[in-house]
Amino acid sequence: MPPQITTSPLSRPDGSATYTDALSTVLAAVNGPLEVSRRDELPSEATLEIHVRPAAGVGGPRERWLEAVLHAVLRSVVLVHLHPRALVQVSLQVVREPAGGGVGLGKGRGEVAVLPALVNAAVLALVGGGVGLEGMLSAVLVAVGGKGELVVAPGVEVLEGCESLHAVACAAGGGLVMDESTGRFDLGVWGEVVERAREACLAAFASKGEDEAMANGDVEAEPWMRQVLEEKVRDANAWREST
Amino acid sequence: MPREAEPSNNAKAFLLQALRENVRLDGRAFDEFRQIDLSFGDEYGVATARLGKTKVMVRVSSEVVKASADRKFDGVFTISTELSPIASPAFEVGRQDQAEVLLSRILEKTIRRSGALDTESLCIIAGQKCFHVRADVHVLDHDGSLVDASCLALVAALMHYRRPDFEVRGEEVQIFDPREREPIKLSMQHQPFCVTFGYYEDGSVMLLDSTLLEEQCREGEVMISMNRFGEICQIAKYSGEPVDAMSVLNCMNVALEKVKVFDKLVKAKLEEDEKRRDVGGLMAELSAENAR
Amino acid sequence: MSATILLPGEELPSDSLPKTKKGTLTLGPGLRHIPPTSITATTSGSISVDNKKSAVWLENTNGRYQPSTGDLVIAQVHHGSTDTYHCALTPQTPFALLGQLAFEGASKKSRPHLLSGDLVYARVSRAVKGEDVELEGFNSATGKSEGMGQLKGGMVFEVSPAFARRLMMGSKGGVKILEGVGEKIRFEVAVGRNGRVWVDSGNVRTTAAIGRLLTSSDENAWDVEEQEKALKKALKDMS
Repeated sequence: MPPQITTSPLSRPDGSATYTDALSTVLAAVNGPLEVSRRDELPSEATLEIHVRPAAGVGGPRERWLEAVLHAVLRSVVLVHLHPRALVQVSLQVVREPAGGGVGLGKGRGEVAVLPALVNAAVLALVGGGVGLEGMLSAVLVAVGGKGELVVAPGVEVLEGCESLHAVACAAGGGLVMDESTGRFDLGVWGEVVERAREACLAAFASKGEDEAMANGDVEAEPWMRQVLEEKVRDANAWREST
Repeated sequence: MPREAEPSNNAKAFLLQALRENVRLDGRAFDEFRQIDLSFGDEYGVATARLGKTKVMVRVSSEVVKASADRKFDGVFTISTELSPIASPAFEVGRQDQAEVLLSRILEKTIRRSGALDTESLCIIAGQKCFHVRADVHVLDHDGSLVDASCLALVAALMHYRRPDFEVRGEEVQIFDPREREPIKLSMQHQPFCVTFGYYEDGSVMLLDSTLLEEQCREGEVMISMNRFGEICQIAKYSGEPVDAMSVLNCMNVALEKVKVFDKLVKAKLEEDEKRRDVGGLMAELSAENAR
Repeated sequence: MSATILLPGEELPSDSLPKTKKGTLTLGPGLRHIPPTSITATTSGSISVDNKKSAVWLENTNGRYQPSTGDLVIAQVHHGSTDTYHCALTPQTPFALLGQLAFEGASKKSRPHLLSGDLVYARVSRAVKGEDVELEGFNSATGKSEGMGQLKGGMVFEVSPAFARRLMMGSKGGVKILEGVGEKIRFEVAVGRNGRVWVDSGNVRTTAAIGRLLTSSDENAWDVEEQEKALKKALKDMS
């Protein structure tokens, strides 16, 4: 099932989106470019500020780690040099995550499992907020089951019995921009995981008839991200059609 | 340091002139709330309240902790309010805004100190183990009346939440997974709600459910919390111009009417949600068994 | 026929370039040029072309107002210094500068005295990346105010920048509210590209009603029929 997206659910931020998949729900809000504090000002590019807020409790080391990973990922697509001495603020609110923060999932798994949702929500909000991007980007979670089988975008049941978990994000050219893994796996498995993940990521915003994954008639490979964004543009221009 | 943008002189003057002529910018009556909307999440204890554009989500969760030494027969209940840039870019992470202090103070007084949640029922073994119930208030969109909306969402979330069931065998405590045993509702003693009155023109105009612009232009505010029986939990008036005692008494009567509306709304929505969950008629089956 | 939609990073197809031989190509919002020959999108939007002006841009409703030279805006004075006013165009962004003498007929001795919180209808005279935005309260080429200057009284309403742009397009923008109300009632209006509309009808009730029509039309994306329906009802209430 493709992820469920709501574009612009909030009124105050410049761009916002909610992203829901089988495991998590994340609400993202983007503001920018804004005035930046002297302390964080960069002379030649925009400062990218990321806040991750957990569903329950206050943010701790776990959230700081997620922020650090997201900063590196988003920094690679946001055209920061377009807005020197400005601030682009990305706030992410986790609304729902698997097993309430990884309680039943073992150490480190909950964090990795929620990463793809955070990345996807942030990208959708950035596009909605009109922040200049170098290109598209999407992320996906891959689980390796007990028998070595790969599951793309797994459900909670798969998550509990899996050997390893991989959160992978790919940019439009196919370049790997995020790879966070946890569990036991070897290089061969990891290579396979990355290949499958890359396919799934690129399929999210592939244009019709362009990508091979589409030709295979794979149901999972529906370009959901493209559909959502195109829908929004069409809605925004609807008044043009009627006049 | 980011700040909420001040309204222009034109807007302030216009708003006050309009109030003198009995007009609100959005066309509401002075004591009329914006459209109230309350919804629950898929999980227990997640409630979202909307007042016009203002949107607050509350999430209630619990864990088992060691009981505190000085309150042996009590569980722990905490409310956390942290305003983030999601609500408005004027809120900064790690810096307590005045709105945040106010919100947490009022919620604390309205819900926690009024004993809305029976903390004794959260005790598992006296002096050793108890539940720690925490409510996280997430303000998602800020267009005024944060306190009223948060209070509504918080009460709804508490009533919606189910804590895991447990069994005590001697010193051993077994906590059941929700899949093993049906989780249990929290025991609430009453349901308090907060109603904020913004006043203008030396207290001659009282507004309910102010928008952000109305809040920025007001002379002061009186916050009244009570339950549907009219039992007052707190009255707060922290700043602004002095206000006539008689008009505060008048406010209380108005507040009671509104609180009754809130109370009905929460109960109706909870019932709706229960019906939605109870697709297979499992609840009916269980209660039928209990009756025997 | 719907126009081609691009996502960030996608290249502009060469057949959607404007079909003019002379003049230089102008790239509008949402596009950037990567030397030597590719033009890519920076956000999502549909391709729009103006052959006469040899311009191409992405049409979208995304995000916050970005100042660009020639835009008419409603600025709010934050504070003044010796010879400039520092004005806010959108919240939490750096202030734009408005010269104290940049008004019609202003001289050292007679010039408008603006206070913090006052509104000015102004034109963006300079918007360069990385530098402060500059405004002017008159047309500096002709020395005439052309409708610009301080906005006194009335009320300012917040709408989305995209909606403000449609309002400025007049009848082509698909918003009939201002015209519709104007047929029955006299009022003054100033639309700023930064998502602010100033309205003054001299009557509080009427001004508020016009503002409500505008903001709800923006928020609910009313089409022409819905606008006319709401307009009729509002006009009835006003009279």
